[in-house]
Amino acid sequence: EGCVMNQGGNTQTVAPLDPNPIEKRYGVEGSQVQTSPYQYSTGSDAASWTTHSVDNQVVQQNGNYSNSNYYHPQPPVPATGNVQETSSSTSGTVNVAQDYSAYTPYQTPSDLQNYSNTGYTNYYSGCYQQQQPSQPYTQPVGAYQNTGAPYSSFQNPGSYAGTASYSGTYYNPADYQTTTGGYQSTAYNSQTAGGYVNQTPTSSNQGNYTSNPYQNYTPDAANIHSATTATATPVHYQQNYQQWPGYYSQTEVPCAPGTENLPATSAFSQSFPVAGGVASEMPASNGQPAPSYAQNWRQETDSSQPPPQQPAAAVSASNNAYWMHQTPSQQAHYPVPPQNHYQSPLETKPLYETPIQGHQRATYPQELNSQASIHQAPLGYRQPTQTTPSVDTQRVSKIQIPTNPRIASNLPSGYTKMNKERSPAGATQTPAYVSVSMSNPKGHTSAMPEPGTFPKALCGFVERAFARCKDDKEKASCQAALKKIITQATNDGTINTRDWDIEPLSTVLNTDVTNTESSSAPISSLQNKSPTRRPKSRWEPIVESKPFVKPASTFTSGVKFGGWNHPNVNNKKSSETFQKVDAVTGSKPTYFAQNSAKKSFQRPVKRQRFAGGAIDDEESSDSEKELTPYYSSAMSLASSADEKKRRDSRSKRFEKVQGHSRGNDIPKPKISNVRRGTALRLGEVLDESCGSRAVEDMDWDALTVKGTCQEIEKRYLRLTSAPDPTTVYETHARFALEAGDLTEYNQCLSQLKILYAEGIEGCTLEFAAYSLLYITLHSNNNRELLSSMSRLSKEAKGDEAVRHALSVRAAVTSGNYVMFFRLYKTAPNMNSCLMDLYVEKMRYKAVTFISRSCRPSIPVSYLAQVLGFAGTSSEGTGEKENDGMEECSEWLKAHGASLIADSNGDMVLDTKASSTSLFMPEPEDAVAHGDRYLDVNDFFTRT
Amino acid sequence: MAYVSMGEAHRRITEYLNRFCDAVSYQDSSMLCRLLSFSSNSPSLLSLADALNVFQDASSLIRQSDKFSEYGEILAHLFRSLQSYRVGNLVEAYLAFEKFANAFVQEFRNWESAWALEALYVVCYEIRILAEKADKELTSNGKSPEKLKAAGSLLMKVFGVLAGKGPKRVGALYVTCQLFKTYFKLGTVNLCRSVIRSIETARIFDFEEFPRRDKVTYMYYTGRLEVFNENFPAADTKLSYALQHCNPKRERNIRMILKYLIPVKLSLGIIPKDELLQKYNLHEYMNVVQALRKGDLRLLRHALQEHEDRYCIVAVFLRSGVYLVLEKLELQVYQRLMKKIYIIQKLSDPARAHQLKLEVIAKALRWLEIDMDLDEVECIMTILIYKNLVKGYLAHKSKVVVLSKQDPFPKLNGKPVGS
Repeated sequence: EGCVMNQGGNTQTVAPLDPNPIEKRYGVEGSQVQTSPYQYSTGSDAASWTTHSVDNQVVQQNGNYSNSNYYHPQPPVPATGNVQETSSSTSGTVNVAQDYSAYTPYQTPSDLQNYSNTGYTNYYSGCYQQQQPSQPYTQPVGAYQNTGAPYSSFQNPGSYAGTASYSGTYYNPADYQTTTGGYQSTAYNSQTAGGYVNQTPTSSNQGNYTSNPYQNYTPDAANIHSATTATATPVHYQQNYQQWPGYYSQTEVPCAPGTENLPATSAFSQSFPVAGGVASEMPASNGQPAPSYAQNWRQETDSSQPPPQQPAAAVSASNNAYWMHQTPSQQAHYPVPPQNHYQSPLETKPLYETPIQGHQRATYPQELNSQASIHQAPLGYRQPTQTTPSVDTQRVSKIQIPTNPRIASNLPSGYTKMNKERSPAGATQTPAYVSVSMSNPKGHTSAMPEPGTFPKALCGFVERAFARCKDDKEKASCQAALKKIITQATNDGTINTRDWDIEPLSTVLNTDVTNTESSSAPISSLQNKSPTRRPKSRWEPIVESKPFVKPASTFTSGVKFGGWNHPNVNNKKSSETFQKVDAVTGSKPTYFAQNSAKKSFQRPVKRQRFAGGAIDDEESSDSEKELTPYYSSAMSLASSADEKKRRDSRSKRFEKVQGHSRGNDIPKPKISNVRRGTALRLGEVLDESCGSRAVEDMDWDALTVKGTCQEIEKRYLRLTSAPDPTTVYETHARFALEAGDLTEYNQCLSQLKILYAEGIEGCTLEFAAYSLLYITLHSNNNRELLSSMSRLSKEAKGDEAVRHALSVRAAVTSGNYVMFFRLYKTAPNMNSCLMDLYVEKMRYKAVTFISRSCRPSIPVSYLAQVLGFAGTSSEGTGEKENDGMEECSEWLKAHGASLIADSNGDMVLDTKASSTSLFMPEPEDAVAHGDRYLDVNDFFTRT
Repeated sequence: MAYVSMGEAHRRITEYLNRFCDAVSYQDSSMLCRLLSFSSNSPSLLSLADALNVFQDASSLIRQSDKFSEYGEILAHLFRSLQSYRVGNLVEAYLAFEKFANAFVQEFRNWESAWALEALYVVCYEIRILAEKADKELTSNGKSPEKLKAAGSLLMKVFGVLAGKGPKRVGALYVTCQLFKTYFKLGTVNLCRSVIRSIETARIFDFEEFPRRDKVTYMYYTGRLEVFNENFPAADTKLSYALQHCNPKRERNIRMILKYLIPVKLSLGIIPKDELLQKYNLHEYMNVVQALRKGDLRLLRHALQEHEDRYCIVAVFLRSGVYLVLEKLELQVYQRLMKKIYIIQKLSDPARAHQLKLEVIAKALRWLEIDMDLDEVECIMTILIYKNLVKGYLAHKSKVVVLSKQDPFPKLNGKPVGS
């Protein structure tokens, strides 16, 4: 329950926290994301565990506090945490969060791995949850086993993060073990270590709650128990934490043995209903899900663990706070994930988190919560007693061992992936994963249907929307709008039926961004498959994050599932795993998760690939038989190194597409077969691309590729020959003039002057005219003007453009506005563009003259004609006889002129009144940068 | 180059060294000036240069005596510069002279009294002239001229030495004027600002205590700067000061001042007598003045355009910066034209003379071969009224300019247009 509570709380809190936390979360997310891969790699089981824990932690961290804050919480937590058992769970979560934060820093050395691991864990957690439903027992077992392995491996690596990040619970255990060992050895041991331990436990708990509710729960329960025990023993968190590792092991053991599986199942069954409700709610709104979760949690807690948790809360406010934090964080994860994705699109980490969160959410609602509660209750009780003592570590190991049997296969793979992230472990892991993943898909399908599955199209929609976002603000608003839309769609059941491809982005505007992000996320995940891109993805948060976000947002539940699946798939398969996994699990979300994981940790992905082959087959058979052939072929192909390379390159090519498809598929498969079908197709395409399937096998119509590039601007131009410098600069200068960008124009002109001075031919006269105009109108430097005039050759003075420029100069110096606007209308080349920027001043000057000199009034129609409003107005309707009256009168009003109607009813300028009331409006002045059509925001960004 | 025997060369060099040391020790500024004045091309200096080219090891001569070696650095650079100068290697001459000048300024700094100010003037002048020559040589060799710029920074250093308190301050204005000349030549007039500020804000030293020659030069250049800034009253003040204090016998200098003062005065509504223009050979302004007197717009435009091609006078106007000033006289010409129309109308119909029809103005302009439609005429009239060259108002509806019955064409009387 504690775990559940935490999660629920997290979810709930997330919403509120989100805005602020987001950044923090991002940071956290980053860690999570990184960790997530590990989770994936570790195998869904272990990963899920860890993920849950990680997620929770992360969430908590994110939602609750900044990293530093997290840390802070920890210290207090220990005190309170010790006191309260529930708090311990909560504190555990808190601790976890802290630990994570601590981990992240600590891990930093091993950063990527750890981070990735955490991220994976998160994903896994989601995956686990999903998987667990179907194969919860086996997976948990595997996870346990994995945890056992990871522990060793993790410990060996010494990467706390890795361990911690890996399986929330399992990994955590491992982490704990490792941490216990490592932490103790290192600085971690002290508070941080304690925190870690606690956290890991908590994380594990959380993880259990969310992803591997069973395992996690058991751990959680263990944690809780330990917490309770801690309370009993209540020594200190640190101690407890240290013990926690042991606890974890213990907890894990208990979980693994019976509690996890059995309780989980039982819990799941029980919780499912609740979860289902929750899940349904969740999908509608990411942020909303939290409440449902909370309810679930509550219910569960009520039934199983409510007493302990509540007591704990009651016991210490800090504990409560922790809970709150945790819950918030968890909640935050739920909501956050989408938000993060949306917002974070820029950052890969956020994306990861979001997907993870989404996974978690899904799992939470459906199964995890219930299971978690159940698990926690039984396990926690048992464990606490055990854990309190130093025995914990032993217990952990024991626990892990027991759990391992079930999860053993999974765990190994997970370990290999997690720990080493690379082939050696991966190969071993893969088989386990396969089995696990297989089971998971089923479970997902059965358990997850409601919440998790988001249509690919929706993902794409979200991605597109996010792609439109220029900055974080837009993304945030886009997220919100997307949330709304998705929630709506979920509520009215159109989410799967609606054609998101056709859905106009304009509806979302801001929200569109979020959609785009989600879609992009899958892509990124796909991209992540390729090792090279992984680093990029890591460092290029936007792309990855977007994709991730989308999945998360679109398929909180589905994503979670996907995340689950992905981890498994990833573990088993490398690049193909994604597809296969998707097919196998039937939950495309896994792909997302994998993708995300891959993005964050490309290495893990590779490892996953190894394992993936086996998994894919199984999964494919489970979830989607259609895909299996592809998968199998892909698998076989993938086996060879060459094939892998090919696939890598190909997958890169289609990464985006695959990601979309997968992302879409993930949600769909669970929810709707149709979606799955599309997903499968996509997956097939992917597989083919990866596995060298014959092109003719493809259903191309189903795979209509739509361009996803939302950018009009090109960052480079492809030249077919060496460019002529003057041509380039002249063209650039002309464009700059057209855009009214004088700074840019000046830069070009200074280059051109150098080029002309070197005797390079160009449109010297044209630019001499520009230069004259520029000096006359904009630099107001008499000396410069004189020198440039004296430099004009006789030939130049005969040039039309130069003569025009000289005439303009004369008109300006004498204030002859009539001449100026006549010249304005007859300007050759781009002379009018430069004059454009002076029109405002000239008009103002003219009106000032007129209002001083003319009495008693002057018709607006005359002014419109003389001041260039008539006929030339570019906003004009295209009628040739545009008298410009309206514009002119508006302009006059904007400048403080007094307009009245004369005896004939014609609009006239009251010159006497206007002579003292004229002013230069500020905004108009601001537009003096030149282009009155330029958007103000655009202008500010330029300046 | 006449043949110079080794002994003769040795004698000449030793003599120069002795003179130099004596001049320094007796603080004989005029002698020192003669010894340093390259550009004077004095026979003694030229013969010394020949001797130096024969007797290559002058530095050993300097080292022989303690008396000479005290100024060894100064003399060695000076000799090298003189050698290069004599053989026409101006860039080398400049570089050596720059080193000499640095050493001399260093020495000058150590002299408590300002006895060597005149010698320092010579150094400042010579380095500017040498730099200009060196730049000419560099330009002819296709290299970028940069020596004058270097000379400018050296002069700035000298200015720093003089600008403090004490008797040496009197020399600051001379260096300032050399800097003005340098900057005007370089076209980096904006650099003058800091020098001007230090001259005008330093109240320790009354401006009137500076030598008259420097004051005139200073006022001339600052007046020119004011012309660039179109600050005509200030330009008028400064240039008039320069004109009043300029040595009447220096007609060339007077002409230079008038070249700027006349347009400034014109723009203030003050028209010079023809005798003045003739006396100082300022024919380029004849037409302009005539146009102003007669309100002949065509003549003014002709003066500013045709000359451009035929006599390059406009090019001169442009280069000197008075073109824009003269161009602005157009409004005064318009005013004169209106006044003429008004007077003629007054003769025919005094009652309605104050109503200038735009049609009439346009017709008058057409007689001057200037085509303007009513809109443009109205625009011109608007500007004239706005600038207070015409008093009255423009009735747009009836296309008539209604003139004030009292002083419809106010004179500028020394005030700039539009004030």
